[in-house]
Amino acid sequence: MKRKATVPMRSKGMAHVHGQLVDRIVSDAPPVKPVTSVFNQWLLWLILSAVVMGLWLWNLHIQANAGQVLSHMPPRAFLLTAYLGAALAAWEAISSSLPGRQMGKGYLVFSLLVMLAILCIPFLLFYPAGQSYDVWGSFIGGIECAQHVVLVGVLPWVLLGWRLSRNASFRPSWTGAWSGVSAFLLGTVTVQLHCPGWDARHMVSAHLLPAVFLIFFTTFIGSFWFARWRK
Amino acid sequence: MRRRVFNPELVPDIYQEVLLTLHKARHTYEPSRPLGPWLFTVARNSVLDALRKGRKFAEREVPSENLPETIRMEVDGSLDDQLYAALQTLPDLNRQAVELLKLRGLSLEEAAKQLGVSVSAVKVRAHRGYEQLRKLMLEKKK
Repeated sequence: MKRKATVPMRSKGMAHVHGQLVDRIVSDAPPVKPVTSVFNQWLLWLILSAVVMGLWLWNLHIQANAGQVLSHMPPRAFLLTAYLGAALAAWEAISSSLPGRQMGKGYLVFSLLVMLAILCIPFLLFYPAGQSYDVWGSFIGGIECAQHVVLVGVLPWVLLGWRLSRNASFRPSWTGAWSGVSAFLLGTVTVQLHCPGWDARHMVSAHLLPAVFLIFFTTFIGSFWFARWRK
Repeated sequence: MRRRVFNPELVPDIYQEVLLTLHKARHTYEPSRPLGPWLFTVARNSVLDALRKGRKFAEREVPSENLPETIRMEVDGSLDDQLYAALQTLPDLNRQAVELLKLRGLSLEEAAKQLGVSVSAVKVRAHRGYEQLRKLMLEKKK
């Protein structure tokens, strides 16, 4: 049975006052500059983050035998998948912060599969056979790389966050999480180009684990930062 | 919106919330794109947020029937035992004034007539009675 809501009818005088109020709000509202499209925001961020990556690589130096390493399929696959993941996550973060531009479930499933691939590729292609894996030991051994992942990712995240805070996200934590995935995966890619350690244990503990931890942080910060437009 | 909000009393408030959110998010509308998806996304999310907020508020709300009363009355209408006991310890003149004014609900003139004294005298006796009662109740509380 269809439920009928009964709302008291507004009087004619009330409607007139209401109309006057709306007219006044509209006339008092300053004109706003419309935000740029998702694609433009995404492209701008990719360019800015590529500049940041370039500056960090110039500072840290790319690994000596980079040409030789990148001529093999496994390192290329990992770097390209990680960069694709960062780009997809940035698109998701931006589109989730613009009403009516949210991506469908297909896009989300594809993005999550790419994230899963980023975590699996080191174990599938770079794990030394028959050796044990000490997560904490590998993390402590690669603490310098972990620091670099954080340092490289912070500026792209702030740039993306600044852009996202000017949009209007209805799911600020979600937007915050994807912005973190995007920025710190770029950090992972940059550090992976610098660090000669292509051992799965080092890659996961020192290059990927810090990014995963920082996603919790960006989710938390995002829940406040990207909700400010409603205040 | 009325299909989502079942409580008709909430509809005007949520309607206002939706309009306010549309106003705040107006910069995110791209004129080159259709208005519908943007409008419905903002409206839908505003309604959901408002309902969520309302539910949180309702969880914290205490019905007025559950609030403690300032003076607890027994079922038969007599005063709380402690207050009654304190009232019995007052000097007769003060106790009579308090009983007539506060328990029987007489006016100052009526109480004065019944006690056979002036209105000012009733006021003084009642005032002293209130003070003594207050002190007694505070001591018992400590």
